[in-house]
Amino acid sequence: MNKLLALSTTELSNLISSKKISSEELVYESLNHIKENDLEINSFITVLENESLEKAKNLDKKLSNNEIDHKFLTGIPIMLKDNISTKGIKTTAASKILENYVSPYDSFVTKKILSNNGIIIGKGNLDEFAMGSSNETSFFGPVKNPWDTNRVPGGSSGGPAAAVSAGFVSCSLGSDTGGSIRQPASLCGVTGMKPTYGTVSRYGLIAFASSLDQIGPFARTAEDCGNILNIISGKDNNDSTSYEKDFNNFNSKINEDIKGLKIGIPKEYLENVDSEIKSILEKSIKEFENLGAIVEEINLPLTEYCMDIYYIIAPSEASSNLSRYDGVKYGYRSATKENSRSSLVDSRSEGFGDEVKRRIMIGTYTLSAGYYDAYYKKAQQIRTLVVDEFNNAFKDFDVLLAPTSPTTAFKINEKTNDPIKMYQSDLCTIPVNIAGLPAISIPAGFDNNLPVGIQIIGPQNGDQKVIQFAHKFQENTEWHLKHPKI
Amino acid sequence: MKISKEEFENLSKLASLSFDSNKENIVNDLEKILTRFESLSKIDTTNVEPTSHVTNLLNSMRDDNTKTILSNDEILQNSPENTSGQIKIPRVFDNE
Repeated sequence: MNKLLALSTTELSNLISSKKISSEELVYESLNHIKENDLEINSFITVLENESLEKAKNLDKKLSNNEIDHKFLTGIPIMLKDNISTKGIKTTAASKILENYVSPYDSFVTKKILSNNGIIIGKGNLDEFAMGSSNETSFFGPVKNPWDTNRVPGGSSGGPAAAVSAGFVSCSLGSDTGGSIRQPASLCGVTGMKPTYGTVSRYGLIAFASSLDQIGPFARTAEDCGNILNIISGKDNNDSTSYEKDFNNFNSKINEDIKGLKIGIPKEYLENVDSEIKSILEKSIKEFENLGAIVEEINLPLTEYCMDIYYIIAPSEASSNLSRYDGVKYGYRSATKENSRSSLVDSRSEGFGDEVKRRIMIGTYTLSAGYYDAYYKKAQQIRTLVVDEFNNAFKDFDVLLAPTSPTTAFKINEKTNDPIKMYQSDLCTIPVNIAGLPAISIPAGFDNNLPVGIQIIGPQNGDQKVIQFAHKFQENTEWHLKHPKI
Repeated sequence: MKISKEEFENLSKLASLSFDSNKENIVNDLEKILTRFESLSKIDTTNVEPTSHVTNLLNSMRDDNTKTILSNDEILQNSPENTSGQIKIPRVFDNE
């Protein structure tokens, strides 16, 4: 990998700002690397080659003429997960049903990236409609893990995670409904953050489970993530769940030390985790103790129920959200012409993949008359108890520390025939979405040459603290500086 | 947890999906997943309010003003079939 492509977004931003490199040079290197290696990795669904180069040249000219101010993302190539709407550019959600859909509008985050003069270099591969933990359900084929191309990159944001890991881009945007940013970040050895629910507008994010979905960044460092969140966060009138924070800089705590601050280790998160991952977590705990943090174990007994309530809440919301795909207004329409009902059923049955259909069926069941109270309402009530349990924990602790994923990257096809085994990939990440908390996954070691991430979880709106702990760890370790041989 | 043939047919109808080739697999998966959910009955949720969202926001409202977001042409651009500025669909009623 060209050494420019190994740098963090913050470093690249400084190089462009001081005119040591041009945006064109950076975009050119990115595109070359993509052309040489993405046929195998398959992290992009769409590459915007000419548009990116053109835009980079334009920005360079404007910067040298002082026509525009330099901002953090000015001239930086970024990939957006292909469930984030981009005007005039295909937005497929990796589904056959949206294979040829060209979004007529920009999402909130797309507008923010563009108004900050970031360069959208392409759209990232994902599990179909972000439903999956391995990026194997994509209509456009699986993404390969840059550390071992026989293995999955994790999911659902497998493309955005693999692209940063491979050095195609220094940063990307994904979405996280049950771990879809943090789990692939862990499996690909990059930094990925899901902010507090409500931090980033979901306007223009193709809806999966609306009460859980949240957009967030992948990058090389926690500091990068904070800088990107500074750009994409904020109140948007088009998303009633978005709101303005009472702080305006996600990175304002990164220079404060963590001496005397308290980290809780929830015991339940270690129960189904591989022993190598546990030992990496233990080494990370020592690192935090060396930095002066106080580490204690805690119990979060409702953790064992989180996966089940997630697989009620998320499919319920998905079955409702995905009812819009009817082959009428946009998307795939079956060749069946018999009548509109058969056209509807055939368009959906031919357009959706197996995992999406499975989740629509689960959600249809849990929302149907007679079962609503027993499943959906019950799950939402337990959700209240989970929120309370976390709130109590954060009375005693500044952050919680846990593994991100119970395993390292698994082999392609290893879990595809067992949905429950696949769902268990998200055991450690799901509770965070249930309670709407911020959490970051950062590289913390290797097992058999495969990266292992740890997860720092904060209280609601404790995003700055999460970044502070992650930054301190990265200042004192080098795991985030390792790159696959590609 | 068993799902009867009738129940599965009804669910498919509600979901507007049809399953021809792999019906057995999906029934089997659904049964396994729904069986897992039975453990939730162990948790006492008497008098617990359900959480539908986690933001603590109250009455997030905006003024009810109409505005044009997309033009007719922009909307039609993605429709599988359209004619005279309108979306065309297969017939709704059988010819009688």
